[in-house]
Amino acid sequence: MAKNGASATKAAIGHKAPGQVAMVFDLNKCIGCQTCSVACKTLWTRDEGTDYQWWMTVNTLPGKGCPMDWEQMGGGYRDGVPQEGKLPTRQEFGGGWDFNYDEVFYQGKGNTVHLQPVGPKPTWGPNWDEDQGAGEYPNAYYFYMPRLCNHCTRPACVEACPRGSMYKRPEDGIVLRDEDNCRGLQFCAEACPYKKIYFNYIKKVSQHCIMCFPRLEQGVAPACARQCPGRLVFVGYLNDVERPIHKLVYDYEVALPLHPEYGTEANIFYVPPMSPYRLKEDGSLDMETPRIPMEYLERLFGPRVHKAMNTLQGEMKKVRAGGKSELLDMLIVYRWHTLFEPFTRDPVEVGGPQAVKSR
Amino acid sequence: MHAKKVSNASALLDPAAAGWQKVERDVIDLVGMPVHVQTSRYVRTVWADKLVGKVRAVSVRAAHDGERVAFLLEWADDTQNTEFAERTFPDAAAMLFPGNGAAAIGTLGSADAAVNEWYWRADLETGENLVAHGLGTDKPANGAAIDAKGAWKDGRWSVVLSRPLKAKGADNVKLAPGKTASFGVTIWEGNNRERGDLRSYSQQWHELTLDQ
Repeated sequence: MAKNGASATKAAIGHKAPGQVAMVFDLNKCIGCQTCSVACKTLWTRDEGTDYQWWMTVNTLPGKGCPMDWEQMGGGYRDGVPQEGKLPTRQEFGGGWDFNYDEVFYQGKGNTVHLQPVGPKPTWGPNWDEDQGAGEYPNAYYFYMPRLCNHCTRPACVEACPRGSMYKRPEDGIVLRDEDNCRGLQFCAEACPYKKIYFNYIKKVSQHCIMCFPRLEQGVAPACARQCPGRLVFVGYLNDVERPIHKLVYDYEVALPLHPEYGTEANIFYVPPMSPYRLKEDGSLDMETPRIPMEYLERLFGPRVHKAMNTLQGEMKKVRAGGKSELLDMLIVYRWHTLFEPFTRDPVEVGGPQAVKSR
Repeated sequence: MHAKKVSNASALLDPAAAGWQKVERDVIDLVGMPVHVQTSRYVRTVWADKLVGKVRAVSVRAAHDGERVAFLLEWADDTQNTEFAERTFPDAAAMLFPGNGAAAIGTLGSADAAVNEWYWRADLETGENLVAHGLGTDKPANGAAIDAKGAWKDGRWSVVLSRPLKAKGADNVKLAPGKTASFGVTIWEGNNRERGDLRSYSQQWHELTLDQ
């Protein structure tokens, strides 16, 4: 099994898989409700050893994120050379909190005791700095950033594993791990610049988002995308020229990878957040300056964010003037199926989430 | 070195067993596994200027009773790492045995020359019996179980690795009274984040004769 994985790896690394599956998150529509996080959590990470794992997280930006200060932890590539990365700790991910469910729900103290974490008082969590953001009233700002494994075209994790236990599936570019061959060395977690690899301290192997591949294989979109009430997550093949992912990433260039300077060629893309204009001291609008500083967005999405924002604003202007915009229609998502095609099957049709998981 | 004939090798499974004091020890020098042979480019790049192989000597004792053979490994280690913790790894050790004369210890064998590895790690309940065909290739070996027990005291690990002499399966080293076999030792210092092929090891195979 490992041998096959290792050879497949060599075939696919550094080249876009012909059928690379990708996702686009439109940050203008994310309300930070965490339904994606919980959809993933309930499907994949309920066992002991995975309690602190949140393969999908949504954090308020600007913020320290999850794991705390992950953007300062290194990893990835610079000029093609692997960069040293820090191994995030369970505490930096926020730990897995245990709650006093028994006390509140079964010991008759429902009116006297609050539901709260038991044990040491937590000092960090997967969504600790929610809605703090940055800036001063009346020009404070923040937005939400959903993050999962980027299933990179040049996955630093795959290259870092000395055992060849990780591989990129040639058919769809999903980055997977042969858990039977994983020995918990965690070089993958060090090397991943997005810090989206977790250590299962019961099974003693590393684990990460598998892009719900058992669902994809049956035409069902990943749980995080399918459950999103904001309908802001596109799923599809990157090379499918007729569908939104390809158009947003390549034609309109409004969907950008997070931190392209990490050099791993992420396959999760984001439509950057637009923001209201700043208010001047006299209460009038500063029509030149968006509240979310462009410097900040450039730090997240690289210099291409300027062009992306110009395109988005240009299209909005066009529509305000009575014109039509394929781009905005696509982002509005009049028909939800367009988000997921060809992965539009209802999970119930294939036997429900647990049936998908047990395959 | 010799594996001393004793009346009951099972009594030696505890590293603190008094019987071990009657068994002579050999001290084997260890070196760090070179960074340039590491199979991962990430590891080669990041560890280029770091110290690999913190443990540089190990004491080895061996005894058998005609049914079972046991090794006692002892080495100095200021830090007792018993689990996967915050940016450190469990301490570990292994006895290495070449599957045939061609197996190189520095590469943990090759595609056609296996190395049998009796593995102990501080967080595991028991030992593991592994077979490797090169660096980063170790996998479970069939046909025999390895008993292992470790104890840390006063800055020193004592670890016993043991197996019945008779073991089925081509992966398992053949050991018999009166016969000579080759062995090596490898140690991981978890506090130095040693894991995988970041470890120290005996640069050559050593000879072991099981007393009649």
